[in-house]
Amino acid sequence: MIYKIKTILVIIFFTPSLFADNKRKPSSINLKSSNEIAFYAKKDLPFSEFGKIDEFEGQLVRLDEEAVQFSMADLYRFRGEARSKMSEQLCNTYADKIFGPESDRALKMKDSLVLFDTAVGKACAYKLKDTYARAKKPYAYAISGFIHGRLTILVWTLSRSPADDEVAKLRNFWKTLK
Amino acid sequence: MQAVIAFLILMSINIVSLGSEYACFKNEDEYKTVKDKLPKILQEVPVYFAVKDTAVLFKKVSVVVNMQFIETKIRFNLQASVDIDSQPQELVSICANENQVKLTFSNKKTERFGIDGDTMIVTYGVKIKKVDSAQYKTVLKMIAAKTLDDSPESKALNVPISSGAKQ
Repeated sequence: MIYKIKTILVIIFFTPSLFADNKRKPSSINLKSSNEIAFYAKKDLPFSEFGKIDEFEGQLVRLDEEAVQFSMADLYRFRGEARSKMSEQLCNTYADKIFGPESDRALKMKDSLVLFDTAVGKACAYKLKDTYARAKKPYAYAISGFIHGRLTILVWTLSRSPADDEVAKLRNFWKTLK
Repeated sequence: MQAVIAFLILMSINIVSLGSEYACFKNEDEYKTVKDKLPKILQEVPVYFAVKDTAVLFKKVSVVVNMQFIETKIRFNLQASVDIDSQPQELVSICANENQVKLTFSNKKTERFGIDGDTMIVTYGVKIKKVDSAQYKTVLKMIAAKTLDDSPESKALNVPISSGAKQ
């Protein structure tokens, strides 16, 4: 009898999740944009968190961007950062948290770090190049800043170094995030 | 809800005992020194693993893994057919005993995989079997075709295995 009740309870509680759409409403992560965006949580993307730190939350997808590699970014958000203004030092500290210390990794920043203005203060951006010659997608572009007071980082993985207009597009997209 | 299910699946399948002492290596030289202490599946490099269309969180997912040395440094590539386009994390070291492989990444994250004969039991209890490079490439092509990707490089499937693979 107990087993029957347990089975019924399992069916009632678990069945809806089998059919749930993995695409979550952007509001579920407290991020909004004037561009159309969607969020895929890491738990709905098997293996997406392989080798990544716990602060990786999933992928933020810009639905109105046609170039796939510029539309999908890894989203990281950190709690407990006492500082509230972005600086070069802070930007580097968190790049090291995500990718490991620059001295120990193949992904190099090569003096690409810049601060830029947004409506809510400075944000920081940098290019990364994988010095591992056979990397499938050897480039990345990251933007780091504070959104709702939380240190937030987006990382795009790219097959080539982004051109100036592409960089401008990514930064403008960042500025729309609230 | 799915996290609970994933946790239960993980707990029920991916229980591996700690067993004997770990042998660790960071590069080809260290690998040569500890090779005899490693589990059988890691006693030759490059080594390939693959699984086609296995059920993960109610989806069918294909997974490939290859381990090789590039310029003596260890490379461990895992690719799954999920709609994600993400920079792989860099590996610092691999430790293994008869029952388990422990991967340590440059960001200090560690991942532990179980070993069962010629099979590795990875995240979500997914079992990936040791295969030859041809079988590996077959599954890798399936993954590349399924994964959202607009880069000419990946369309050409010019992936890192080419140099290390025994053709």
